[in-house]
Amino acid sequence: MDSRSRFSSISLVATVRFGRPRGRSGPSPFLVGAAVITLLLNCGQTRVATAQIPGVVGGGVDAGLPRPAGPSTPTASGARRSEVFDSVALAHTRTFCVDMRNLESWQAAGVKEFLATASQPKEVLHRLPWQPIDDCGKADAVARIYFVLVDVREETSGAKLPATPVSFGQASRPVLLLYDKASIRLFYRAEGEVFKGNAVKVLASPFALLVRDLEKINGQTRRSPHFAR
Amino acid sequence: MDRREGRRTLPGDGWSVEHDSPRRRYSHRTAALVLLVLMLAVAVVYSPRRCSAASLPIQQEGEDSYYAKAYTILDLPLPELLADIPELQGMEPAAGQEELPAILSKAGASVEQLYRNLVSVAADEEITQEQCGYDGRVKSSQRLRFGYLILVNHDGPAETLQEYRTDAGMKPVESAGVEEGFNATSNFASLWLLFYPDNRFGSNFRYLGQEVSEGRNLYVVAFAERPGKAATEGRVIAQGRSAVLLYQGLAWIDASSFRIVRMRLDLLEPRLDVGLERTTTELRFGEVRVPQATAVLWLPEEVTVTTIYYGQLYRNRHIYSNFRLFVVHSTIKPAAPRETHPQ
Repeated sequence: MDSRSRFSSISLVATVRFGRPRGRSGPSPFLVGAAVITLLLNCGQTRVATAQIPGVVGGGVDAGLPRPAGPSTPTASGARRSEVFDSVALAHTRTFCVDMRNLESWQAAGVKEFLATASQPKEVLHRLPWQPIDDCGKADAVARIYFVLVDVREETSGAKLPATPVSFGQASRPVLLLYDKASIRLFYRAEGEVFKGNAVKVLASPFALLVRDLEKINGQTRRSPHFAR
Repeated sequence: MDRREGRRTLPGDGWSVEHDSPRRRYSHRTAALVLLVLMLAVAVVYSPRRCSAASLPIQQEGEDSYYAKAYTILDLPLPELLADIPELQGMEPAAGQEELPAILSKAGASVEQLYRNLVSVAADEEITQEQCGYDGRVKSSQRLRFGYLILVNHDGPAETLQEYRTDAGMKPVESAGVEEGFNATSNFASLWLLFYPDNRFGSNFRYLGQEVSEGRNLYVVAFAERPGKAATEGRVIAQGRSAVLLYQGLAWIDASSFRIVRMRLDLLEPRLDVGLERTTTELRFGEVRVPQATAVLWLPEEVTVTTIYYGQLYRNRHIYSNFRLFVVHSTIKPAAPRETHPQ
């Protein structure tokens, strides 16, 4: 974790040399301009301490998290799975929004297309007993989706696909996460099917797991004890 | 030199310097003045943004947008806050925010005093790293012991506070446990500097109420770092990619000494671009008496970091002990007399 603090010390960085070219009676206008600009651009610039102030994840600039070893690991099996972290929160959820700020614009476009098609009668979002709303500040749950690159060779048992897929459209796995408004609590996590091509088709899979899990926890309001905080 | 052209050509380097001709000198000055005006215009356009001390960016360009419009702990209605953070059960909610400026001011003064007292120290650090299943059961774990250095520099153009993890030979240890598949976490000693007076502009605050814990009356203050203005930041490194981390959280402030006795930090936003789905850091600070140090120090005693990374739950517990003054001894050895070799 690299973290830094800003203290009150002010450091005005203006190292300018006034050249005096031969045959001129004063400093070059160019150099004067450079000096003025340097002073203006550095005006009030607080020198950032190199101090490490907080550190939570990562352990220094060149340290951090291990190779993914969880269910979403690129070498994991293709089985879809979901985890309910807080069944009480899910049971009390009535409205949800989909926060797409973490997505690239083209990924967000795919998700929007999915949301439009999946809200049709008999489609997966139509079966979700929650009302979708646009304002995440008013929603009971905030859904976020992201895509995990997958080692396609292992996922497809030798199919002729690229070993290191490089884009959303080639080989990824969608992950659906449900948070509270302030992203402090993670209620739910579901992984969709691996896809290479149109993501819109597979985005239904984590939501289908959510619908299934909501049916299961219907009537169960006991909070999951392991990650209650 | 070609005197007719008033031009000196430098052989081989492809550029030239003009001089001597009054007409050329005039055009040179005109061009320079035009350039100066243009440069000043550029400077005027850009200088207000840089001159505002309150808007100095520390985060990398482009990363601020990741945190823009984040809905934070400061925006949560109290019932939802209590549901999200069970530690707040039993808190007497504040009637309003009238007390907040005084609490921040006194806490800031306390933090500043503690920081002034801080000296470079060495400590022992014991880390328990766990990989857990979703049911909370530990799948694998390891216990590590390191030295821990907190180096403070109150002199110089910038005040610095740096933390290092070291092995028995005092060599820096990086990424402790990462090779074994665990999460490496560090840099907790100075988290309370978030409340340092000159750092406070980097966060927004909300007074939540009072709580009695272990016989102490505590103020509970929530904070959320401001994208683009945060005075402190973290960084996650995952598989060669790095991301800036901004935090929101809670601080428990002793109502009599205004020392920060406990903190909880959550991510301002999950960093899904690097698979970081959730991180919660819980810290307990305590008084540390270091032999040979005149003042009492205020440092972390225990830190627990819980992380969900690509669906895998990790938990790290750090315990610090045996604090001692860190002094570097150096000796100057006279150079050995040069040997002479007979020819």
